[in-house]
Amino acid sequence: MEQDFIREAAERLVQLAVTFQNDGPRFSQAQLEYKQADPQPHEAVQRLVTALTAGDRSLEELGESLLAVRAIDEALHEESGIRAPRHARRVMFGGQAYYLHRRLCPTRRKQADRIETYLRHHRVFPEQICGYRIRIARADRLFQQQLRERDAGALKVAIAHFNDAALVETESVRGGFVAKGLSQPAARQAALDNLLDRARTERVNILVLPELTVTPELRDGLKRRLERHAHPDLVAVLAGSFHELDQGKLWNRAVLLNGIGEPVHVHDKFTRFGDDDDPLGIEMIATGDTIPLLSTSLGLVATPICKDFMHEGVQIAQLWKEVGADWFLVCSMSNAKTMRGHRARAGEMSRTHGSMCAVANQVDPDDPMPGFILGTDENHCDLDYLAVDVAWSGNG
Amino acid sequence: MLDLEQASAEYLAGSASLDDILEAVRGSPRLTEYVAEQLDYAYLDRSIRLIRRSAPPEELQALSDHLAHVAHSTRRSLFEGLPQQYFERWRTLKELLDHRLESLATGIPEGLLNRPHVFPIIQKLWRGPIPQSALAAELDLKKANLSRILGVMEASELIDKTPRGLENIISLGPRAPPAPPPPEREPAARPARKMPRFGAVFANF
Repeated sequence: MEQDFIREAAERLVQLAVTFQNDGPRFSQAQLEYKQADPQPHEAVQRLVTALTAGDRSLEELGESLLAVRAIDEALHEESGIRAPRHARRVMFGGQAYYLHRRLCPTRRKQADRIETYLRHHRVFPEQICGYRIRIARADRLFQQQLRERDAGALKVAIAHFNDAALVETESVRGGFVAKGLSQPAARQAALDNLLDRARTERVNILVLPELTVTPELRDGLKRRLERHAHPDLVAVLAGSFHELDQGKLWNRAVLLNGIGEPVHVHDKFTRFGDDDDPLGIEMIATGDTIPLLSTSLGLVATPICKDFMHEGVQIAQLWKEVGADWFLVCSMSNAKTMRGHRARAGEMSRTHGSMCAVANQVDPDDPMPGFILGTDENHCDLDYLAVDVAWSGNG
Repeated sequence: MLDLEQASAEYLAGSASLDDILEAVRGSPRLTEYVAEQLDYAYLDRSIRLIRRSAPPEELQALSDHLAHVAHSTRRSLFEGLPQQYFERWRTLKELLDHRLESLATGIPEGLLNRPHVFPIIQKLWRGPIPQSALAAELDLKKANLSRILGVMEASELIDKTPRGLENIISLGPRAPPAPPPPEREPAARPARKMPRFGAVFANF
């Protein structure tokens, strides 16, 4: 009986959420009806939840209203129990697959024009957006616990770029290039150590490093160092990215490490760099079709690499618009023109979803424009390093 | 420093501190089969004890953090050549503890406690475990209805169901609100004691 209710409620919730997400005028009208239906929506929701869970009213009887969305969302949360696995539930609707994902903590959104205001305990995602498959992983407990302990309303996020003598060594292959290594790995190692010490001293919580700056070997060293000398404040390090071989293919891979250096999230770049005017040619990497997202107490975290985030193509714009992650930790290697693209996308995500974007950029010496952090205010990284307190509201 | 080759499984499971074990593991170039077996017993034993006695989150967290360090991805080479998949086993054990911690960190849905019959059931259980049929009779609820309410309460760990014969015995779960302390009794009025009459002593010196 309970399992039937949970399955039916999940299906109904997805149907309603998708209907409202895809039909602007209807959603707009429903917002008015929600406000007018009851002066105390919270109490009305509780009454509906009681009726639903006692079997006095069926899911269909609730109709297609935002009050119904809130009631089903709440009832599903209560019925699922606290031990319910947080994996996504796959639901078919209108010939398309959607994921219903339970949030780690309820959203605190209050704006009437956001579906999250009514869908407090769950998220609804299409399984595929513009051909990309969305995959949501749970952050491991250590990551979540450390973030929960920082509930004072602000996290310190730092971005950096390297101003050392280590340059990316590339190799030409069939009209394109691959990154083979760094010219002076020892110099980069020293810079990395200094950066980590500085981040610890300044009690940074999340550190983001730029694209093509940390080789897999340097990352392994970073993992060992974090494991040996974990600092309670340093929650996560996005350890830059580099070209690396895995299962016979070359990927541009960014790895998010937790406070003790354990990988919690891996992102493989899915949009190649390539410019006809650029003597290097195309970045000869494999590109996948999966967009990995990390569900944490902070909300949904995405770690796109450079063009994955700023590319102006329709697919990428549509992808991030629909995903609407709460946090974008971006590693980039860009010139001024590309950085303007990053700023535009970050601004768009901040306006439409309230996302926090931290873009660490390894600057082009000929056309330098450093990274930035866009939270409540825009902060530009004028030096090699910038640490900013970013307000967050735990929209897990 | 703790010598893992000499330490017994019982000592590692009971008396040894997790910090000492971690330090010893860090100092080992590789784990021998004997040491891995002893540690495996110790970790399983510690985990079972913590979960059985509904240990506070800090204790679960300490063991989970310890396992995260011991079975860290940078330490995988330590486990090479061992006959059992200890690396994966300990990581799975850590996952189990993390899952338990996550459940403990999840608040009981507010609306659940306000649902009809939920709080009265908890109040009855404050007095002690009750058979499910007796609870149905006391609350005047249909069998199916009570079963459904208890199912939701059990999912949120407000109650525990223990099968006994054909019956379920219902008791308070680890996440049930605690019974309020009994009201303090007014101290009984003391019977008036006859006080000897002390006369004032005026001394004329």
